[in-house]
Amino acid sequence: MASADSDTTPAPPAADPGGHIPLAVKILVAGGFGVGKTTMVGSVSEIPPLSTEEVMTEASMGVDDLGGVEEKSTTTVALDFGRITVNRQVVLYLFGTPGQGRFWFMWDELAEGALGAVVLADTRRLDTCFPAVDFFERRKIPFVVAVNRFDGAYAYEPEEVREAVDVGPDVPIILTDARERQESKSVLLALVEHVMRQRSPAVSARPLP
Amino acid sequence: MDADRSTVAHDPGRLVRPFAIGIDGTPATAGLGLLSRVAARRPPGPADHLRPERESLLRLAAEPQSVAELSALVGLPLSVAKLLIADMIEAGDLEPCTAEPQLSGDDVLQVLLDGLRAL
Repeated sequence: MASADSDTTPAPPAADPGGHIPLAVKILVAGGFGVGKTTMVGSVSEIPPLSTEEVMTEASMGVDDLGGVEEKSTTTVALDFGRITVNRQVVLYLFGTPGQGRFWFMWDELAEGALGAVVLADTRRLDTCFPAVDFFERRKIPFVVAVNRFDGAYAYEPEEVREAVDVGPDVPIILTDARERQESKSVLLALVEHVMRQRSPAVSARPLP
Repeated sequence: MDADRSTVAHDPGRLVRPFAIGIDGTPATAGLGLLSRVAARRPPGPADHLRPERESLLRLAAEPQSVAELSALVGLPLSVAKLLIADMIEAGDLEPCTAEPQLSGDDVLQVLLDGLRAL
């Protein structure tokens, strides 16, 4: 792997001495355009985020809701992801999910077997995270809402965000800074704990209020 | 440097390159997911020079590697990469790897939680 070749690969998680490869676990990072999904993936990934792409048909061109975020027109949809080797048994992949609802075809494949999801929200454009919330609620994929604090955005309380996004009291709402590794890590921990609570029989047997 | 790769998401986009990769028949990609891992069964040889994508995949998958990473590293759209990988599995150049199920569902979560905390 010491070659100076341009496509030298970051070393994949090593197989353990018995020849076993680690179990691959997937967490999705979803949210609207420009909300910081790739930033978050990059802040916790052990490799620089990789990007692959899927070809987009012309039928979906020209309907991007950019909301004045940036000029963006492309014929491919990029899928950014990172990797965290948790230990020799488990390797975690984080996939930044294309934000627009018209990419359902990719969401289906991405959601297949996903442990859970982080819905990144920007309080200045909260509505851009609604498609992701709807998607995960419908598929019964556990998720947390992480509010990325942008400079200059009004600092809403988590409960205000919960009301605006209209998610149940059991969904964790976390204020975060997607640029900070520790904060992004906390969001992932909150998600894993949330998934564990959901799977615990004691919790699921709890009578509804 | 990998600066180019990490800024791809902010790139204004590019046109799709025309592809012409020879694949015999239609290999079955159904079993291949983003996180399916495959490994090369042989190192690239002189005969592979005329098929650069296959040559790259053989080199990149020297250790088990995920379909998603191979797609990104070789610079092919996912659907194209999957076809090529499936074709190479059929040809016996790559083999699928499966993680031994040493962990049950709840154990995975605990291992993940402990591992993330320790990072």
